[in-house]
Amino acid sequence: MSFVDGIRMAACFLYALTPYSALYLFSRRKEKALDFEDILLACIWGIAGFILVALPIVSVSLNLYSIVHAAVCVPALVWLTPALRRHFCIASRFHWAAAAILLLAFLVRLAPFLPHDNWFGGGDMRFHNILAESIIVGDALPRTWEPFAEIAVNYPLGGHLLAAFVSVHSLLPVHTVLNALLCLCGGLSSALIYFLALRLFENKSAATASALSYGFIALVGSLDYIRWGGLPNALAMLLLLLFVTEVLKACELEEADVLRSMAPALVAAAIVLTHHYSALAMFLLVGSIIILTPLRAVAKSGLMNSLAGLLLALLILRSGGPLPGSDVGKTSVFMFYEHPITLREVLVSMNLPFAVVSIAGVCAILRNGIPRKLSLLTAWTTGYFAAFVFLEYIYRLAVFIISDGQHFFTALTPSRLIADLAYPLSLSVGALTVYNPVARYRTYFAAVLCSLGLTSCLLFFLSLQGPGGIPGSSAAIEWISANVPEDAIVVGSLPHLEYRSWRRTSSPPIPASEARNHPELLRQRSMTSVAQWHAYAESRGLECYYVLSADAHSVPPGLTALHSSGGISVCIVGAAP
Amino acid sequence: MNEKVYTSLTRIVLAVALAIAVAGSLAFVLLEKAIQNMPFSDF
Repeated sequence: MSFVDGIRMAACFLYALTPYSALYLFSRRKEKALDFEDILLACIWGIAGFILVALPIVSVSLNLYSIVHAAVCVPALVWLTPALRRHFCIASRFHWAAAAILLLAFLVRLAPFLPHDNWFGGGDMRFHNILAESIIVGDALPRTWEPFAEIAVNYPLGGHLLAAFVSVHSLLPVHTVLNALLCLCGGLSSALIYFLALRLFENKSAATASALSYGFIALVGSLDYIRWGGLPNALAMLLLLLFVTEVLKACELEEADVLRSMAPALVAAAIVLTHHYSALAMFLLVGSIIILTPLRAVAKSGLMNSLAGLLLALLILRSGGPLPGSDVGKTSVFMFYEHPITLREVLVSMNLPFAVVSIAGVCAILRNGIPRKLSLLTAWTTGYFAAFVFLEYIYRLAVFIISDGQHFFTALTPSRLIADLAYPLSLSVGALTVYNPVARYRTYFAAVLCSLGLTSCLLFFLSLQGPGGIPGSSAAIEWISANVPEDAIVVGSLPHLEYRSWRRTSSPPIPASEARNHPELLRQRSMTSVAQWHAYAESRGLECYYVLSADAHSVPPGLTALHSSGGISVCIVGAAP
Repeated sequence: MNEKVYTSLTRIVLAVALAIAVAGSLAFVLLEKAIQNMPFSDF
């Protein structure tokens, strides 16, 4: 991606968010000077607003939404620009530290992409790319996973829709936009953590420490998003940070104001429409606040707004057709065969230095009797950790015992809770600068955090500089795109084969929330021999191809090699046509 | 309710969860041979 492409993409992001961001800026108190927090919140509100408005319209047509957006956005800009200049003055305390952290956190996440010409993204991007591209191909939200599988799409598509919109307007591939959005989420989350910590600790050093630890030291739930491509998780958790900020602001209101009090409900709806797991994380947080904190106003506001948000999201989803999730029995939601995670692996995945400073932060809060405001952080951390322990250890071991040692699955992907735990843990790091004994050595602590950040970022960068994919895979995928009929089936797998070739494969990348245990997909997974695939393809009148890690001379009997490069061969079942 | 009650409750939940996590992790290590041939998908 060139510099010009980057500028074009940034302009398109701004174009997508502008009407909603401007609406937020006009809804705030006019007498308050504009500071960086306002600009940041306007930007994140812009994302939430875009998802809420665009999703129901794109369930009909993406082109229709583009027309509506242009019709609203251009006049809004013309009308708002002079008004913005007249009404807002820049505050003297602009929080430049937060602005610098945002920019640096964004650049650190962008750096691993730069040496690569065409980075398709980490593990989960295999299906996020497909979902976002499906919106463009079908000019509407996809109802099914066709052409890859005949099952319904349950996955919320808020983030994919934003990427598809920017991709269409910037003329850049959707995977480039998705990865850039992932980097942007890292920067925005780091800056929002700064302001949330400032609100909780009322101390700039604490805010800086929290933002530094999230932006540059935490791995899973932060830097590691780039490796596994968890865009919906990163985007929805950014919205969850906004939800917490808005709930706290609503509780600080001096006069009764129904509109401002219910504003977090809009963010809650955007969370549900962006990532189902983060919606669960939101309700888990609200439940933890109710049970484990004396913050009655926060608990009441959080509960009311999250429920109102859920209702609004369900109404938006219902407007586009039947509600997703009716096929939950065929999903892997309650039978998820994830590798078991020990406590040691949890600490390593977090990045050991981050685990040490964040746990020390939680201990500092606990040692000081959990000050009233900070009970939010301890409840948040405790709620997520207790839920992880229940799902990973109690549920899994109960399954093992009940099934007499035959099964060892878990439910609700507990590893995601460890990713989500990075947010409250980062916020807790701020406590170390407020409470003794570390508070006396703030300068040394800042130096330690910066060193840990530099080391962690460097190791993160190096860990992503591998050989650049499987040799020969790009040539094989390009050959498949050019030569394999669109309705053929390809047996075997290469990273991003489905997205890049748009051909059906024997093992399509489908997330756990989808009906991937549908009988047809189970049948496909059970077929292992060339003869079985031959019969399957013949019964459906399809051509069947194999993609293998083998030279052209060593392909198994029954296959004819048509293309071979770099140790990857593409073969047709039977004789060459 | 008294604020100290919430503090104690948080500490108890954290301590119990930590104890179960340590015990569960040990159980995973002990079960390593029994589960090594089980299929674990990545996503």
